[in-house]
Amino acid sequence: MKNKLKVFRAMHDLTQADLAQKVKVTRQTINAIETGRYDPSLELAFKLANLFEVKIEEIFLYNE
Amino acid sequence: MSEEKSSEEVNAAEKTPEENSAAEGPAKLKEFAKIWKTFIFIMMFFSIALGILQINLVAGATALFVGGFLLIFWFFYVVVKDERIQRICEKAFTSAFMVFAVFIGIACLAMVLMVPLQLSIITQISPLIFQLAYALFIIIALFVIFYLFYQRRM
Repeated sequence: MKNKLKVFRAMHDLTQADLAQKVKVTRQTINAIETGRYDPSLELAFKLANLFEVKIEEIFLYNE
Repeated sequence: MSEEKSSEEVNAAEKTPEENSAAEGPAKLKEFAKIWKTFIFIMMFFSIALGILQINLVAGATALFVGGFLLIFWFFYVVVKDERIQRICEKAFTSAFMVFAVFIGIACLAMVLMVPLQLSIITQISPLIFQLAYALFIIIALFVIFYLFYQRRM
């Protein structure tokens, strides 16, 4: 699964640590999502989408 | 007295009973955390004092370490556990468990097959291997119990 988390984070001028604190995960988790090493749960995906006020599919792109 | 309601009162009135109880939850939790912190503080210093009085440095050092560790995480809110770490833990535990189970299984089989040889090394290490095998059995039994328990809840 690809994602545009880094782009949205940059648009909102947030550091990985800031974003991690807002969605209550570790900075390493944000880094792992951005680099594609970890696919977040639906709950975390919703949290991120709500934070950036966009739909989930705008951040996360599912490719079969 | 002004009849105008504050925004909080208006918001509270607009909220459903479920929402109100949901808002009360964290407040109650904070209150409980405050009491718990105080309790930990008292217990920590009591244990340190007892450790020093009895000249038991190990007890004092342990109390200091454990209490200090808990307080650091409570006073400075740090996310130390999230879904990724939980998933890593699950995978690490599964791998560790598999390695342990396979090792004990092979060791037990080797013991049983090599008993007729009556080697001194076998008689020396066989009690340890069998104890580990019992431990493995207990872990598996506990795993099954908790698995069935959580299967019903989730």
